[in-house]
Amino acid sequence: MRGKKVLLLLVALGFLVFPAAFSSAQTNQKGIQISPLTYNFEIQPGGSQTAKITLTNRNDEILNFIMETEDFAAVSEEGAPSFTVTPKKEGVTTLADWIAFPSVKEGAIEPKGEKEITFAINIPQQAEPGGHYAAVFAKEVKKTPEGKTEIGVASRVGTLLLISVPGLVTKTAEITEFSPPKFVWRGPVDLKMKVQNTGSVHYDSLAQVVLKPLWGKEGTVEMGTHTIIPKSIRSYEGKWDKRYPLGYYRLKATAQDGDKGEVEKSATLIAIPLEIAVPVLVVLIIILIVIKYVRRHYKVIANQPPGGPPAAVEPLAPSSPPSKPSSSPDLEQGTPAGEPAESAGESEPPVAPESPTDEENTPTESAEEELSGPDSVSAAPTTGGSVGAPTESAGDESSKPDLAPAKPSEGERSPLPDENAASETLEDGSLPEQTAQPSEPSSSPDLEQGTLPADEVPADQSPASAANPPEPTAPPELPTDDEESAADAPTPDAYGRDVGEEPSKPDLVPAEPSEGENSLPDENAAPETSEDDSSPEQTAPVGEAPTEETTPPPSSTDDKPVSEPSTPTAGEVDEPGPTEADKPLENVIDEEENSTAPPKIRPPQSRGAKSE
Amino acid sequence: MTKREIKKILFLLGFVGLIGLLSLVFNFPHNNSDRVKAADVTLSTTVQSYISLSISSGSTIAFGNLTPGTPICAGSTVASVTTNATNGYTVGLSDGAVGTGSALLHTDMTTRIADYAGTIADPTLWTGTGLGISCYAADTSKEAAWGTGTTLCDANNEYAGVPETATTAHTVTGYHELVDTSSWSWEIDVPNSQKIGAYSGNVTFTATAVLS
Repeated sequence: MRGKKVLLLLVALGFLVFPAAFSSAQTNQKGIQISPLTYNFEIQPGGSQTAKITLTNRNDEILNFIMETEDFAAVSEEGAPSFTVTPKKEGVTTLADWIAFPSVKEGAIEPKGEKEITFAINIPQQAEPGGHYAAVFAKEVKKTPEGKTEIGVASRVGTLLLISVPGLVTKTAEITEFSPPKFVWRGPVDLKMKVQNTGSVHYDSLAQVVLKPLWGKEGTVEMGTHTIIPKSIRSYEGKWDKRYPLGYYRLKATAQDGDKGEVEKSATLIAIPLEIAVPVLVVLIIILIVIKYVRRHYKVIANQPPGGPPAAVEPLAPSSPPSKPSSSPDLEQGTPAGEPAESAGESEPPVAPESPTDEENTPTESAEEELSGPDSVSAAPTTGGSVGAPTESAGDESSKPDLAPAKPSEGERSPLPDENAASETLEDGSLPEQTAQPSEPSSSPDLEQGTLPADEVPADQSPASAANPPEPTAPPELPTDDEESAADAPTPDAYGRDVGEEPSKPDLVPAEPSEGENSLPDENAAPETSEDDSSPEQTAPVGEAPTEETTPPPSSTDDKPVSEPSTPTAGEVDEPGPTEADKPLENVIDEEENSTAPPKIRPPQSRGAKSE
Repeated sequence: MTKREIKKILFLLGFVGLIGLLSLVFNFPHNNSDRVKAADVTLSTTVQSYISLSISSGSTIAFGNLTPGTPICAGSTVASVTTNATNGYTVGLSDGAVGTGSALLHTDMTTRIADYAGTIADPTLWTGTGLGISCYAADTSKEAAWGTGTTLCDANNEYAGVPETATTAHTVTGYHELVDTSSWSWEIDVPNSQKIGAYSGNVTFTATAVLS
């Protein structure tokens, strides 16, 4: 019971005390108060200015006060006056000395009472023009403790006086610092600048920053207005509220001097907001990845090994005559193969026609081309017909994977020994025949590549030749070189088979004599054909030169079997012209050698030109 | 048209006309906005800026008996400032004592206890002798120069001697509607050579506005 009573009493007291405490908090303002806080006068030398300040006693006790004055000559960057006293020479007076309190300088104010204090500013006649600064203080008077080691703390409040004495004054300004961030990831952007009064009198300085983007509207950030006294520096701060600034900005900070003139300072800023940059980067990365993926995927298809997916092979197959099946299988596969084809491709120029798809297409093609030699060239156009074009594209091989094979670049040939190729070409002479034999379905792809089979089989025996006896003249030239190169190197490497088949080469070799003989009408053809063609070996064997020259071949090949003097168009060249193939390589070669007939040369020329 | 119909029409017309008359008589619906005549009174006044400073506690700091070499951290002084100044206010410290002497003056009116070596511009952790002061707390933006201490006599408080003239020791920028306080701690030590006796004096806290 007793405890409850105590609690009730405490609660009751709480209610009684709390309101009092609350009210005291509301009226907590105590101490000495002064108003106003600043005066800004312009007073002529010899002139006088009076003003009043109001002192208020916020305490519950009587306030004893005394008025004081003190000079200040500087303010901090924030604007806080510094009352550091500087020693004065005798006879020199300052504003603090020019202030007088005619009525009351000290006194007492009743609790909660106030008193007006009048003061006068008397500017001496000799006063220096410019700014003069001081403060009028009302200081609480406290009795100094005695007999004890202790300190009394007195409070003092003041009114700042900014006096300007007209005359020869300067009101110049300078922006001493303006260094916004050079790079920002996002807004808002904090801007800071400092302005110094380099004149002799104070003034209000308005500052702002103009942001000029490379495109778009200008932005302006108001930095505010500050009163600057001579030799002092004021700090300005502003905020550019743009949340997602983007781009390159030129920032021009300007500040007014006392004459309303402007001083300025420039800087630059690059803004790339993360909120924008990151998504853009991510999208770019994704795009790159997709592109890479697509490229890889594409490459994979193109590079598929000879035995690989039919897709790669397919492009070749259509071009090649379907007729010759037996030899074809290997060759066909070879065509798709990338590397071998390249080697062949070099030598291929002539051969290109058939396996236009892949330069890489395996040595078989090269072999074929070589074997077919000029024939292949001619044949190529036939088979490649459409493909023929690719031969030219040898350089474009990359772009035209299918065609590429048909148009092996010279570089590709390099791996293949030219001589061999030449020999093969002779043998291959049969190949062109194969190409020429579009009628035969089985041979088609194989036939093109069929050069290989030709390798295996003596040139004469080569199925192609047998199948395509007609027009022997033209083919020999182109194919010779190519054939040589192709036959030697590529075929074996790319398709192993070729190598195995090489034994047949010896047969071809005899044909090679054509090279030595240069029976090939390269010279005639040479003009148009590549240099390689001009070379004796090239002419006959065709192997090397023609390969490079392959580009043109397609046209020439088309039809104009060697017999025809007219230069075959590229497309013609491509067309292996079964007629050529028909003729046995040896016969063709002989004819070419003997005749050096230009017409023969032409077909290779086309290639040669291409190869070049 | 029958008579009956004519009667109906006439009846309706009469009804409508009656309504119209009523509306004119009673001005219904009426808009009496025109009847209101403006009687504006122009009021104007200027609110004066002011600042008040009160030493709400610690207006007298008694250090007691000093033993040379044994620093004493005395009670705190809390300065409360109220102002409507737009740009804020500043609190300055001064003791009026010339040179390195502090406000504490011997009864012989000559000898003084020296100021602590640290200055307001560069206060230091307590080491040595003299009279020093430190701002250990503030409602608004305590200056980092005063150290990381947050309580009275905190070892991390950094001290400064009190200069002769009012020197800004604490600045608050911007408008603050309510009372803003800052808390100050005192520390003192004397060298063995310090003259025996009682020392006393006054330190002045000065509040002024920050220039616009």
